[in-house]
Amino acid sequence: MTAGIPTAGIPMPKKAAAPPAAPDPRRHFGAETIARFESWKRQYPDERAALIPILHAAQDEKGWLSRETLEAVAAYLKLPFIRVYEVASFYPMFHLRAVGRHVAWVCRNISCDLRGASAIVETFRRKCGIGPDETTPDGKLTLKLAECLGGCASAPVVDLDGVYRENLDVAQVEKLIAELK
Amino acid sequence: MTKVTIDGRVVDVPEKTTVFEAVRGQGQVLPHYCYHPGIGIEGSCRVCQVEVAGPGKMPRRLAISCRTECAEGMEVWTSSPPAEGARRMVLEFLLKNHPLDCPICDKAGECTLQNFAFDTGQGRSRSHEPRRQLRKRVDLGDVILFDEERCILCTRCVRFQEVVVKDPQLGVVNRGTDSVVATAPAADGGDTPLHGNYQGNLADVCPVGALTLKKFRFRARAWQLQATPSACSFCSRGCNTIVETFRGSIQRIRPRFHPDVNKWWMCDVGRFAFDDANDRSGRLASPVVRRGGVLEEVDYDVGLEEAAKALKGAAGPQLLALASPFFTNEEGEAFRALCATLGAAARFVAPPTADPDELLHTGDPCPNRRGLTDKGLVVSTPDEVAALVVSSKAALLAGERVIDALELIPGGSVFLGNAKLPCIVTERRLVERDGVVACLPAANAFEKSGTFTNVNGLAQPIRAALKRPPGTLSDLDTLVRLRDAVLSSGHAKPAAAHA
Amino acid sequence: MAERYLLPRLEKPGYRGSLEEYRREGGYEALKKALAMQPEEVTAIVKNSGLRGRGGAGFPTGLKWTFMPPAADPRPRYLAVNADESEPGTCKDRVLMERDPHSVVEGVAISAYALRAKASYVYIRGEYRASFRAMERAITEATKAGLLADRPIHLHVGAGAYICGEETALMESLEGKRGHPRPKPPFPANFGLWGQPTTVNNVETLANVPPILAKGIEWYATMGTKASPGNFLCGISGHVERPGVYEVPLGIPAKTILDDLAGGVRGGKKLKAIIPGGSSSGFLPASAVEKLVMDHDGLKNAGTMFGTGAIIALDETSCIVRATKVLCQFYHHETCGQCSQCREGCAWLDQICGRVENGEGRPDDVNTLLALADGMRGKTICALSDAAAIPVQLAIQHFRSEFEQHVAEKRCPFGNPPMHVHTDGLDDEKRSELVEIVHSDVLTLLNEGKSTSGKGMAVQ
Repeated sequence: MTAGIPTAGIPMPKKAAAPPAAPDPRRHFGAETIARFESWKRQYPDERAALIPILHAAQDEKGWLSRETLEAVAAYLKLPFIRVYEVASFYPMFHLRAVGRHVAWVCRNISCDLRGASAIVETFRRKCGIGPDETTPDGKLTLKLAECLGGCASAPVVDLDGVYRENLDVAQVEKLIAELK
Repeated sequence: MTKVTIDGRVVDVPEKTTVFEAVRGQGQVLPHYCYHPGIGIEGSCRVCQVEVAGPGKMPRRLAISCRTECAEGMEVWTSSPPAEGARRMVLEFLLKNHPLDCPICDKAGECTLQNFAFDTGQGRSRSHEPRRQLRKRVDLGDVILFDEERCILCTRCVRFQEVVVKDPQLGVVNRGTDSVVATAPAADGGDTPLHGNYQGNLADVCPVGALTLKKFRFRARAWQLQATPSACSFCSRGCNTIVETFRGSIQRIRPRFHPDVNKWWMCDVGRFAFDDANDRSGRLASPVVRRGGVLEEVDYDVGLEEAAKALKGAAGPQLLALASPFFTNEEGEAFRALCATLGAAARFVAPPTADPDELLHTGDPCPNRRGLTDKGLVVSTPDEVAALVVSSKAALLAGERVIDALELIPGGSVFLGNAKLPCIVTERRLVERDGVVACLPAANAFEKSGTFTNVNGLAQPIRAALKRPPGTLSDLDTLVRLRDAVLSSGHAKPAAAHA
Repeated sequence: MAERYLLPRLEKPGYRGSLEEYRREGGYEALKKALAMQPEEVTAIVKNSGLRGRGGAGFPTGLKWTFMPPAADPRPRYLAVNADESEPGTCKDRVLMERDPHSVVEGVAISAYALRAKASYVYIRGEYRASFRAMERAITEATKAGLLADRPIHLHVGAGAYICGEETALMESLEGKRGHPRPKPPFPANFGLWGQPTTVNNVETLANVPPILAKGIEWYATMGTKASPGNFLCGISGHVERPGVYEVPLGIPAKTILDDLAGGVRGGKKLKAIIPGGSSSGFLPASAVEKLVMDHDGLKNAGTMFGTGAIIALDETSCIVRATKVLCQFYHHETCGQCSQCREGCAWLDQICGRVENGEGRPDDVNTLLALADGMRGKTICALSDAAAIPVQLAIQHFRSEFEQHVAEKRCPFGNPPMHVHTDGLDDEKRSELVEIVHSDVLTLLNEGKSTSGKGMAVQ
């Protein structure tokens, strides 16, 4: 015989805890970036369409897209965070990890491969000590492999900080590397 | 209606029926993953392929049956060599990276990858490549454990959250063969846990053992489970369920499809609240009466007689008669009859209600409020019972967790301490109070059969999935015999047993 | 040489592509002409011209325009311009956008009018920053000059996904989502951007529209062939002396481009194979190039397709297995992952080709490649799966012995260093953890799972 009255209780649905507040986009981003956001938003009948251009603008300011930055973008566009995260992770141009001050994309596709792309990748390894998806310890340079950049007729091509360097050879790449600050 | 030919047979189907559903209507379930009638058509898994010709002059070709609408004169071949070959190829692709986890995977035995591969697949893989390796125990909160490697990216889980619960929490992250289903990353670097009252459905809709219930992990094999169709007793929706037991304990509860009540879903409250029912400790296994100040176990003849005597002595309007809110319609009727005999108002205690949740839970934890009130029992709000508690001299409490319900009422537990309690029909508690005269064993909702009337007035059967403690009578039997005993002035008359 | 109408303007020394310069060359006369007609008349002209899409599918452009709903349909319509140019070997749309953006803007403006489009969106791949800036300047100029009336042209930007060149994936991406192609039907003309009627056209296709409107159908028919009229921009790359983008008539012999325009195989070497129309068109051996004619029928007869008309030349020092692996790893990287066959198949093809190239090939690999490629053709939401399979099928069809030699000799006979194969999933660090997890699960199952009566499973 048990003493006392144990209370099994009547189970009810749990109220979900309020999610932690997302960072305020207007505090997270500079005024110029917010202005760019606003300008992108205006040109679509549905604001969600501005997401990818806005992610570019956010990355232009921050250098990469941290979790916090992505949350701020989600808050700005009033989208569920998971929807923003899935989009950011789909597109290779969005860096979800910190990158160096410079980012060099070396095209590794067929036309560039036929005209010496592997030697260029090797040059970066030799001169900077990094391979693809790696960053130099001093934070100067991140190396990435790109798929066809559309510079096939001027192969091999490196997209360095958003500028196409075309018709490259090993010597020119060494010079580019030396000039990086 | 539209006429189509399926495997040589001409069939009439309603307009706009998909080939998949038309074929299902003929008794054949084509392999399928991304399609779920409650979630929608996606068209990405490609496994439901058949051959179709038409409408009109469109040539014979492979098509996914989930998205192809039947058109007049269309011809369908479900098991031609191209159709079977196409499905077999899709399965070979899916099995290339799928881990060989069957021996340790909960889904084994009810896994549609196993089943469809067995029916359609080729038995051997041609792959010599190392399998993709991912995280195998992703903690997604209280309910779900996620094995990334087993996932075949059917996206049912993602779309379930989006479309059914309307609360997006899952997504597909990365691209191509690096794709994984995931929740958003949390600030601490882990995965945001799932929230909400419908997480259990994710394990139901997952065709493989990727999303599994923590509560069911390694408890039993699917083929060991004894399935009892029933209905949920934790709110007035009455979601249809399948209660699955093994070695006399409930291992799992799953929803059962009902087009008007709960469709394919049930909430986590009803899905997981069976630990109490499995806990056999402290169950009353026989009637108990107070003899010489001490509660003693007795047999039913004695117990019923003592209870009847005590009730007769307390009969009248000052007898507070409270039924459990979990009584079936049949028990409610028997209780009403007993109370009529005792001259007491038949009431039942309704636990406090809350707002309805996002989908199914009505907010009213009483599964049979309509049924019991239809039978003439008076629903007593907590405030009303609190007032009655003050003015009553004795109480008849009957049924599962009536004491829990009472304890939720202001003054209820004080009352339990002070007043005379000539009779309690209870499943568990042996109440050590001076006022208690007789306790008769009660059953819980998993141990009885009967009907509940849900919030919309639909009477639905529940079926016992567990056995009562051996030798005990059902609540229905107990109430009927109690009334007989009261009527027959002290002689305990054995009445015919009811089921 | 045949007449050219796409490149001469931008080849003029000092041409910077401004509105003023473009107008001086006769620009925007075609738009004026078009605006004086009914939209349906413009469509009829383009349809009758026989212009075919230059984005890869070669679908008749005017015919595609007629799929849009009739004028009475009140739904808003859109024109989406496919400037995602990502097909390996293809580098022609950027020439027009960077150096003569008004030729594209005028083409878009006329087409938007013909389609009664409420607005046009130019989806420029994210890497094409120079094209974006040039197009932005041009659109600003045209807007200021009142040339776009109430049919604005908006620029949009991609972020590195080849699949977004597929028209329905382009629309998904434009709407702010992952670039997942949509099943068809419904087709864009019925359900496109934001569910509204939409037509998607390639940049070069639209650049053909002003000349057709300005100079007429008869003039257009003097260039190219009957089934493939007009000129196209042929980007030729790889092992040639003078890689470049050349404007040539459809129907030109491939040899003319290779030898006369591009200066023949570099270093005087012999030609081994070409990719005739962008990577998805696969490989043709040098023998097939002798008589090859560069138009849609010519390439179909050669067992492949015209695609983007981008030629990539491989000389005798090239390893076809390596080249196939380079293409396979591209599709492996770019598959969106929706369809089971494509998601797993693209990776699988890459893995097998990588092993064969690295000297780890097995005797059944070639047949497996063919079986997988066959299983990837024609059964998916979009054609990326086919695009991945075709080069493998053609490489084996024309160069099977090279694959077999790699397998037999357990090395690349051309002396290439081993190639990396991307391993999907976690990095090496995480892998050893996983073995522990599986072991511990097995132990749990054996010890706790079913056998004991502890932990609340007590029955009697």
